[in-house]
Amino acid sequence: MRYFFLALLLAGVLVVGTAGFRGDKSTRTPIEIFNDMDHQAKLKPQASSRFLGNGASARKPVAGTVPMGLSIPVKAAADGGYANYGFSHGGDYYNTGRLGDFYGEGYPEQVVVDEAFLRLGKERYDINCAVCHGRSGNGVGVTSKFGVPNIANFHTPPFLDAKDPAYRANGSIFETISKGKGLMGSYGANIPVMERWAIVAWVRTLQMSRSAPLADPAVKAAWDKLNPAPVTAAK
Amino acid sequence: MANIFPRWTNTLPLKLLIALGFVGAAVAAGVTYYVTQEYTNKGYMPSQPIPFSHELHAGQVGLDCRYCHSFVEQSGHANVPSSNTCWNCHQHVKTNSPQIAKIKESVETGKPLQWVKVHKVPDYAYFNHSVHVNSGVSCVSCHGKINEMPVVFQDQSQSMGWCLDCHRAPENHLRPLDKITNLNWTAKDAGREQKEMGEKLKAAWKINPPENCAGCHR
Ligand code: HEC
Ligand code: HEC
Ligand code: HEC
Ligand code: HEC
Ligand code: HEC
Ligand code: HEC
Repeated sequence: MRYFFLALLLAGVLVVGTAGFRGDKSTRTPIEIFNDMDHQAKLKPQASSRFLGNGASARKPVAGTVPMGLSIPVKAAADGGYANYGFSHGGDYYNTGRLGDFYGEGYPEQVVVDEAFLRLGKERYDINCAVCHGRSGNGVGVTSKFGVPNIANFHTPPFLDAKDPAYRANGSIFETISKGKGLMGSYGANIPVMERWAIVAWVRTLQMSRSAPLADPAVKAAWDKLNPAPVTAAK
Repeated sequence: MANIFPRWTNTLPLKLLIALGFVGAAVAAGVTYYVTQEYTNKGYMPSQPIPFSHELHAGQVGLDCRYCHSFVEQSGHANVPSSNTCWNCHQHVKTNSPQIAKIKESVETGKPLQWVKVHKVPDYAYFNHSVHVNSGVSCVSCHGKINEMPVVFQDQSQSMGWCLDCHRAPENHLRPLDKITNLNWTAKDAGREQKEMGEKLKAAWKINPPENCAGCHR
């Protein structure tokens, strides 16, 4: 009997020794104890497949074709204007920021600028742009310390002053987000079209905030609403 | 006639029974401990093609999760960023690192980086990120403190029991929507109790997660 218990103990130590404890870090793929239907023939997003040979699970659109999934084109591709901007496919102002050969100022008709829209813009700006351009738009975000050069400061004349020869209209800012410009990469694949316009609106708000006088009671009221007194611990 | 069975065999059946009992108990203990996802899945930490650190990017640099996982709020699956998203910064930052050279190659050739999937829901179950994230469940409830992980590992078992634990008592996890990607935030930071705040949010948003089989096995 004594030997039996010794053997049992030994077996126990052996099992714990080889199998370890719950939550141990391991680089091995998890064991599937009953893997009945864990892996089905269907493909989930971002999964790879051996079917097409290159690992992709879907084919890329054939060059020159126009995706129709998101909006139905009003004009045939042959009539021009159907460049693929991120995942927007129209050639109109809303999708391109351009009116013919010029950048548009103002907002496209699809956009309604209200408080909710500005809040969306602030949220998306803080997520996507603030790391480089700074929360206030001054061009000194975190990454400027790590070597991202010449980040644009939105409080300089080319962004503020419509009379400046290099003035960036709303449409130009929209296009910079969609396609990138110079040293800045594109965010067209990360930010849906409507949110890009919201960001444009927020950039304009940031600019305006610099010149809004706190003496103005309306500005003061808005400020107090956005920055309520610090929450004191509840009783 | 001599005894066929020696004297010691008298106690043998009893001993066998006891031994069997102990072996049975040991096996049962082993199975309950090991044959669960608490053991098989938790702590899975595959090595990735590039030693990408969330601790550095999400923690120190302070990137929001949605800078990279841009569509968690809109889509059922959380997207892993394209190489282009990395390149927007790394065309300027640490350009001489051999790790960054891999990103460059991927951007130039259009061949995606093959990140190894860490968390996995079996194909017979349905999971959707946007529902959870927009109902006030933070990434931290399901993925742990990603912003402190140099290498991502699975922090929760993600078994069916685990899903149901929360679906039965979501108030232990709900939080305001603007704190979803703030993994360090707790109800205490707003001077509230999680339970009490969770109950309020649950009532206000009419949160009612599915507990019937067809909710997840559709
Ligand atoms: C990785 C850092 C980075 C991020 C993130 C970033 N930018 Fe930029 N941005 C730059 C740099 C660098 C420039 C300067 C480009 C140049 O002058 O070549 C720039 C320039 C610009 C310009 C001026 C372009 C012009 O016409 O000269 C605008 C407008 C702009 N950014 C908007 C945005 C918006 C909106 C976002 C958020 C969606 C954003 N940026 C995110 C780095 C960044
Ligand atoms: C700079 C881009 C970036 C940021 C910011 C970022 N991630 Fe990630 N994340 C990645 C990449 C790339 C991977 C895939 C490689 C890996 O698993 O390490 C990943 C993987 C993950 C995974 C594991 C996915 C799987 O395979 O199961 C989780 C969970 C995750 N991220 C959550 C978060 C959370 C939560 C945040 C916010 C705190 C965050 N990420 C911020 C780029 C990022
Ligand atoms: C917001 C800008 C930004 C983005 C986006 C970004 N990184 Fe980084 N990355 C940094 C910074 C800043 C450092 C730290 C550089 C330093 O220590 O000087 C860094 C460091 C790194 C390092 C360490 C390099 C080394 O050799 O020390 C790796 C690897 C890396 N990043 C991979 C990635 C990957 C992969 C992605 C895309 C999923 C990504 N980064 C996206 C800013 C960024
Ligand atoms: C309710 C729990 C829950 C929440 C909240 C949650 N996740 Fe997940 N996440 C999961 C599960 C489960 C999976 C595995 C999904 C699968 O295999 O299809 C996963 C997978 C992922 C993946 C890998 C996706 C893939 O296809 O490889 C990423 C990236 C990720 N999550 C990021 C996030 C981020 C960022 C947040 C917060 C904004 C978040 N998750 C919030 C449960 C959650
Ligand atoms: C931390 C809490 C939490 C965890 C963990 C969790 N859920 Fe949920 N789940 C919720 C909440 C909250 C809702 C939203 C219910 C509502 O809006 O009424 C929800 C809703 C759902 C829905 C309904 C979606 C729809 O379209 O109606 C499904 C399906 C679901 N969860 C599946 C899962 C699965 C599968 C897992 C495990 C991998 C899981 N959940 C883990 C909290 C959680
Ligand atoms: C909240 C979502 C959810 C609900 C509700 C749910 N399940 Fe599940 N179930 C899961 C997930 C996720 C898994 C996979 C766990 C894993 O293996 O990672 C699973 C796994 C299972 C398995 C295990 C299959 C195997 O081979 O391991 C069975 C059987 C099962 N579910 C049956 C049921 C039944 C019966 C019900 C109704 C009483 C139910 N489930 C309700 C999410 C759910």
